[in-house]
Amino acid sequence: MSTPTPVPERSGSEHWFESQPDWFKTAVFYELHTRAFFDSSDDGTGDFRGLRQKLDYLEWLGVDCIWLLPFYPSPLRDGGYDVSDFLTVAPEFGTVDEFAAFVEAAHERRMRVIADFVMNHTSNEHPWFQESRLGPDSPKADWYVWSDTVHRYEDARIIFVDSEQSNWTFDPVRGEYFWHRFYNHQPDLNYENPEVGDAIIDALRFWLDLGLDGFRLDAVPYLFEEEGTSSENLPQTHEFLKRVRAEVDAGYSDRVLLAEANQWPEDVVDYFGKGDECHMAFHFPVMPRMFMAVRREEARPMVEILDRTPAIPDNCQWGLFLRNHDELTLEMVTDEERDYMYAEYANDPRMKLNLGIRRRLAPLLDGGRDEIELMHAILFSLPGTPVLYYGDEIGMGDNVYLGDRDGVRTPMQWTGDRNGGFSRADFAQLYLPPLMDPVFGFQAVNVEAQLRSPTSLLRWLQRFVALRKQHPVFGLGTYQSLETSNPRVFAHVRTHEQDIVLCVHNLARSAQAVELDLARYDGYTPVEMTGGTPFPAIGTLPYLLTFGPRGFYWFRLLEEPPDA
Amino acid sequence: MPDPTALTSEELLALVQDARWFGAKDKTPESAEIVDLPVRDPVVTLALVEVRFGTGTHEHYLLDFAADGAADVLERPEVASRLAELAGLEVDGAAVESLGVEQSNSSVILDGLHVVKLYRRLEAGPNPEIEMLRALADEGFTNAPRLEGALETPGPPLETSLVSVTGRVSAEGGGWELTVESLGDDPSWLPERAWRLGEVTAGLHGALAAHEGDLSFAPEEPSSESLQLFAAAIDEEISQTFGSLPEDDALGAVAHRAEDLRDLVQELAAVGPAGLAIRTHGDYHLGQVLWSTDADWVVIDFEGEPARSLPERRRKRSPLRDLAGMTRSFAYAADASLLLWGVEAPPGWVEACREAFVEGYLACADERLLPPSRAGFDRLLALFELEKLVYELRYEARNRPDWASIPIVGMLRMLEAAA
Repeated sequence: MSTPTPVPERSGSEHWFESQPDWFKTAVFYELHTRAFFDSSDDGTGDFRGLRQKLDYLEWLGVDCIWLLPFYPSPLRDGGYDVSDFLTVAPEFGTVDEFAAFVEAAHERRMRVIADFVMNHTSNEHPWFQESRLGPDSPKADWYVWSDTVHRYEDARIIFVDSEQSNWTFDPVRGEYFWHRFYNHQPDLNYENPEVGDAIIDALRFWLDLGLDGFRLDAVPYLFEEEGTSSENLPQTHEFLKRVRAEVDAGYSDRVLLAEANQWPEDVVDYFGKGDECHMAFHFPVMPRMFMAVRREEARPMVEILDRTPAIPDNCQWGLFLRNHDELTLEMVTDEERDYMYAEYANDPRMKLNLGIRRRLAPLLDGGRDEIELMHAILFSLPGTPVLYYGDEIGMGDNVYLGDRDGVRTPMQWTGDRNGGFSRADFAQLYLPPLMDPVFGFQAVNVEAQLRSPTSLLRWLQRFVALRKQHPVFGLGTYQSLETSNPRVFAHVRTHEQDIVLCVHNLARSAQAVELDLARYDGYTPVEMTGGTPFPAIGTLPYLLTFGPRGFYWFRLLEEPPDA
Repeated sequence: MPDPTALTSEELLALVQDARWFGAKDKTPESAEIVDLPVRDPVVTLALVEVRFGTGTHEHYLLDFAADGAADVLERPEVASRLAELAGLEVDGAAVESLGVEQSNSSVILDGLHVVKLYRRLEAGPNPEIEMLRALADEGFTNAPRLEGALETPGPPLETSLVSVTGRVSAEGGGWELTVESLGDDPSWLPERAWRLGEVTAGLHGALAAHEGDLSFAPEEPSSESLQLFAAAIDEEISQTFGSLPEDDALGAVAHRAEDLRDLVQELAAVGPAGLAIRTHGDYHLGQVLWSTDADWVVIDFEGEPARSLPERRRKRSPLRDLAGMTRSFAYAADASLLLWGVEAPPGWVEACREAFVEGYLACADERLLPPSRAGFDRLLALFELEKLVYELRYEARNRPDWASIPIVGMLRMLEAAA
């Protein structure tokens, strides 16, 4: 018998995917903490082997891309965003080999994996900083931003206003101040020094070579500083990100760079460059406005921010989310809007953090199923890629008594058994206690129970994800808001080639009617997308729709009515 | 030489759309384009065609062209033997017999000795059939065809398999045909051979489970919610299938039983430990086994269910899912005989086949792959049979309403047994 062609060595995702540079545009992302997902080693902390065991679940849910929060060694004073080694896995999560095996197993199921990468700063325990602080003669002396005065870059705002007074902190070892845009234990790297950029790109390559499909780049607006500016979004920063993109494109295919730039859309679009910088960027300001719209029962806040969002290059995509691992950030709203949001969504002062509200989706919406469904419907209908946050698919709650953002980072609730099925360790060993309150605790809210019940939020969301993925128009299509006769109704049209989808959402907690001017679709038949029911054909007169409270319709507009 | 790359989108669509292996019969393709020529040879050109649909989705198909530009030329001896050569096999290439066109491939018999198969519907990733035949050969499982060669392409755009060559099995016939024919003159034919079929099936699963060195095959402890995920998926299927059943008197007996079936799913899913998950045949029924001239069963066609995606076809599952496919196929054979020729299977025939098959399987099975108790085994097998029944009902109600009685009788029997 002759030898068949040897299968080429497996590296990266090419083996399991067709090449498709814009795969991320029609994908559904899922953000999770390795720490919080599943503990396979009974030590109270989730790990990569545990994560691998839960891939069937994520695949069933319809996830296309898993976004891992930082898993690098860290003193954990900022949830792992204080990295002390970029080139390995924190020992509690397993080994680099186990990480690679997890990525391979995800690829086998046609899921991609991206990871958080913190470019702006390191932990003060990182060997680079330890070396740098030794003094101006140290080989890494200029790897961080040092100064003998705090009166530099004074126009830069302080981001963590609850814990930091200054962006400068005195280091007694070196006898100088170091620059930090976040916590004082997170010194900013000095990108003026080209060695720093080289070292960071080497670190990116390390993970790409292991098969990782890309990065969520943390805190990118702050890489460079410049006197007399806010030291955010500087041209040098964009230059560096373009270099990163070029290096990634040259060595790897189908990877994605997702920028975290909590800025106004007109500034964020710069992070796409001319399609030669980041592939994706989060659209931060739309999210608080969705919550505002639902509470105020009016479409205007959303319509305004979307109309204000500039066009982006064809090969780029917005990342959209309802909630994530951070607080619901209110940096990108007016003072008046912020006061409104605090009053409506954070009636307990413990819920506030920095300029935001540290709560999960379900408690923010008072556990209202209609509201949760409506918010997902709006999210999935908007131009961009939806990013789900682990636990929100079952309506997990939060624990405002835990410090910082830990309240939204508690263990995933798999079952009603001990520790919510997350770990077989002793309760006291768990990295954080699971939720145990009667409304959102694991005995009431868990995957096992919701899998059994066809009407559960989890089962609904699984169907809804599948529906969105059947219609690439949501990821690829243009967006056009529609004037409505009723300010409580948010309506828009998505179009991709022949595919036209009309999305209409009632933001009110009462029944509503709306008349839409659909004259340009005269003769088309709207077919409701969840059940396939044809509605009366569109004419030249205003098209009337009625809704139950928080109801919504998605329609395909078909030129030919479907066969009866 | 006429160049396939000069073909227009319409011409390519015409070549693809009416083929049996074109999978998207319910969708309207908008355009087609050749995205790769993995084989460009004086004798044969293989073209990877991307077929695009208006909704922004696409699928990939493989077309073959001869030097004169003609398409679909596998039945020409020089083409089949050139492909066999490219797959790594020296052949005479004197004679070709057609084996016809399947849902996912075309194949021919070359020189009476080799089966040359051209995979038509392509996806990125290892071809399950080639992968399985290699593993089975490594483990010394001989009741399957021998893999003699394969032609693969690393892409981009796709890393995939194009052609396989296997040794031709010398057989009296296929399990399905022999069974249905036997019901007329020798109804004991299958009951006498079902025990052996169980043994061979257990051997197949044992070999697949033994191929531990390869991560794609190493048996795995299923994740704790895997059965619930499966139950949830069947539950959705029941809901969708019954929600869209056509108005038809033939369906009346079962049309209002959806809720009972959904309850039954929950009941059956309470299996406890299900045993290890392994690579399985994936599309196992009487049509996938041959009765050889050496009087033994040979298992063929390891591609998995053509309608499922490649990751699904490569999924590790409980081997009991294969058993359910076979036991349902016994019921189909009995009813097909009645529907097609008015020949009724003797009373108890299906049960006798099922029992012999299951007992033969259990006598040789690797116990790590099974639920530890017989009660758990029976429930899990019933759960997989129910999954098949739902699929059968959906298919028959849409395509062959006269045949819908087969799954309906099966469902009613199952509901009765549970009551």
